[in-house]
Amino acid sequence: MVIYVVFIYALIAVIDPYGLRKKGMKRDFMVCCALYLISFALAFALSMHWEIPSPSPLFVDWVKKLY
Amino acid sequence: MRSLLRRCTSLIALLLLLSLGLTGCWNYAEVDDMAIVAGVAIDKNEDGELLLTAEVVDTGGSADKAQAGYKMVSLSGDTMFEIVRNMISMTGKKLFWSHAKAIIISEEAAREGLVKVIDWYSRDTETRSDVFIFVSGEKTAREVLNLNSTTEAILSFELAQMMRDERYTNTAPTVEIWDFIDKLETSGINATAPIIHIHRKNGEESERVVGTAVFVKDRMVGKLSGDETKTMLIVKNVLKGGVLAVDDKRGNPAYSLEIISNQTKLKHQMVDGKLQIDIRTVTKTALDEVMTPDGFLKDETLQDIEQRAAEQLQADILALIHKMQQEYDADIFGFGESLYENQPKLWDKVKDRWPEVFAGLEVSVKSKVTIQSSAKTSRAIRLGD
Amino acid sequence: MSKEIIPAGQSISIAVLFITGASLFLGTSSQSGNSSWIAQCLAILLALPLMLVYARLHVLFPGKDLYDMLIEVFGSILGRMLCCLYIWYALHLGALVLRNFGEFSKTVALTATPMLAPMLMIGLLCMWVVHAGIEVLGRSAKFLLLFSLIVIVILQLLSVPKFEYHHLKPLLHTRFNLILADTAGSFTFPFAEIVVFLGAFSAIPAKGSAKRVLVSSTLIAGGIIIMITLRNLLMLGPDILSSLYFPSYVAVSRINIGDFVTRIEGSAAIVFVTALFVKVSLCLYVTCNGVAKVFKLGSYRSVVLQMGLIMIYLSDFIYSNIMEMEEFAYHIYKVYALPFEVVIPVVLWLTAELLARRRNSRHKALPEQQPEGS
Repeated sequence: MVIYVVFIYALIAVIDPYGLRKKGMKRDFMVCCALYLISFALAFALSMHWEIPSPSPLFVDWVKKLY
Repeated sequence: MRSLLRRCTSLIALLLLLSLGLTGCWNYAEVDDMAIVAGVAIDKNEDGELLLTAEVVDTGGSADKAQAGYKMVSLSGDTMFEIVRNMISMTGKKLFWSHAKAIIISEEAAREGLVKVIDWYSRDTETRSDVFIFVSGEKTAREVLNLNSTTEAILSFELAQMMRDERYTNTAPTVEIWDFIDKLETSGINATAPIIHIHRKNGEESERVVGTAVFVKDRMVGKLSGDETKTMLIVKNVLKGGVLAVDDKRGNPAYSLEIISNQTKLKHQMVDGKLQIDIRTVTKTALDEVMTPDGFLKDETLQDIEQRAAEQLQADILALIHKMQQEYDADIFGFGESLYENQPKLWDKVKDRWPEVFAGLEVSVKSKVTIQSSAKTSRAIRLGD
Repeated sequence: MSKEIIPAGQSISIAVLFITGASLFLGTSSQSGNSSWIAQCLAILLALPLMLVYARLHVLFPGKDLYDMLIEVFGSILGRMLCCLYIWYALHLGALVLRNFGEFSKTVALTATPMLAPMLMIGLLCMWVVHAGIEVLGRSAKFLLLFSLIVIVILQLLSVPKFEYHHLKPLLHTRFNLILADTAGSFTFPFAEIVVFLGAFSAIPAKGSAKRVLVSSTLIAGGIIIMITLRNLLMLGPDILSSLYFPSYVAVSRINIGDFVTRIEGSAAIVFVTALFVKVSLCLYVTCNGVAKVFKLGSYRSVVLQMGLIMIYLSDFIYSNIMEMEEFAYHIYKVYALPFEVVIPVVLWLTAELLARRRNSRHKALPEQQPEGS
């Protein structure tokens, strides 16, 4: 499963950030790269079945404190 | 030219990718690999464990048989889900519950409390909530299910068909599981379930659904006969058909009235601190049978018969309500529920002690029976010589 | 990138499908039992003034969307920070809704399929639509709304035989604070969520009437939701209703016409999926738009793929099980969403009014000076 993720993300890298760089949109390329790294990290973590901490309990705690 | 080639390849790639996603399934199972359950019987065996008997449709049967074959699988265990999963070791196939039509529970298990048996059925996603629930009037539930060996037909489907035709006889309530759970959860009404007996005659056995099992919370506490059930259905305003047998002047059974429709209205009042319920029933019937050749238009008129039928109905209703009040403290009629809906403030005052309040209710009944027609003939069969 | 404009009819379709989205199957919080439909009526009444505030924002800033407004009114730094808040809100909402769908398919439809699979499929479709542009979304929404309405009406008609009117009684017996709690719940989810649509306001024609779009979509969507709540209430009764995760699904499964039309709840889920698709697409569009505005990108299309994937992953790990999701949606969300839906837009509106007044007075006082702002 992890191997599939890596392959697909390599493909996406060619289409997305690289495609933007070729079009010459510098800023878009930077932001897209940053997001690409984030999404790759998440996909990798999900396929390796690592526990990703969810922001939801934080909100639940905040709201409960208000009450 | 190059762009056309690129477009073709991307189209083909897209189609291939789509075909992966459009199948809409992650895994699949052949029908032959599943054991389709038609009905299940739940008993308690000597060790106090649950004993589940499933009537499984045999899909591997020969093609020339007109009906599908069946198989019985029986297993005991501590919890329902455990037994169900362990049954795979006996059938070799995973059980498929979505076609199940009947659940039969033994009286012993019913008297102990049904929640532990029913929760799995209502929670699991494969099981459907429109199965009919029965209580077995025999010693065990699996005897009833085993009748399929004598009738050579899948019993559960027959029972389901019987329940659908029940509106013609109305000697047993038709209860589906969601209805049962609904009544369990609602305060102000007690649950009921029909009872199955085995009718033995001339060495032949067949199933017979007649009578009601009365529940308090989720335990069975008592039974009602077929006639009492009919009265109960009238009071609950769910009667759709059936027969009212009326005696003639001398007390012999003589007339049969077919019930066309029935409407029951309840009114609640608080009189001197005591709750009073006023029941009014209006029943439209047709005269369908005259058993004596010399009654009818000679001794008595239609009005007399109507009057007598109404009085009989009133007496039956009062007797049944008193029986419920004195013996079981079970409000199977939904008086509490209708009180909550119509006069919620009154209900708030009494809802915590409803069983006691129900036992102390004063009930007055007024019935009206109208005979709308006398079917094909206008007089009784006259005996010439 | 040329400006994408969608006509009013398509905006209304998007907004209606957006609002009814998750409520079609999840229902709303039902603490008030058989008065939940009254709570929803109150919520609609509460939401209408808010819609007028949003519409006024469109008049004050024609042709601009929420992010432009925030940056213009609050300045570059503070405005960008508020924009980031809204980017997170839209992303979170999209993930929540996608998760609703995942839970639904895992619980009742495809129980053996890992949740990520159906979410990924829908997510990919949403990414495609957003990439194609909001005009495509508008056109599809118009058609899908028609289709959904027909299916909803058919389902209502088919369920009439199973209505038990006594479930509506006793009327108004529930304690008022429960009805208020339900009203607050219904108000934030789903009616006031239309604040997300503010992020796409640049698509509404500058001369057009945002008021008409917002008010009519709230009323239409509200009508649909109340119809569905009443149907569920009449078919199931208030006691069972409170125990179910997906009340509409169970109610529709009881439909039985002549033993022939039965078990149609699977087909009824199609309405859920279409409304959900529009909702997630809009959330994704607004998120990408926000990122583009904050980082001054050339077009929002550059980030669609990545944001879409991030939204799908977020929806996978944001809750560990359906009970957390239910608790969040029914109890926590009404407080968490208030700043985004009410507080910030109202502050924005008041500040914008003040600025506009000051601008007008300065314009009147010094007619030869160039007017500030754009």
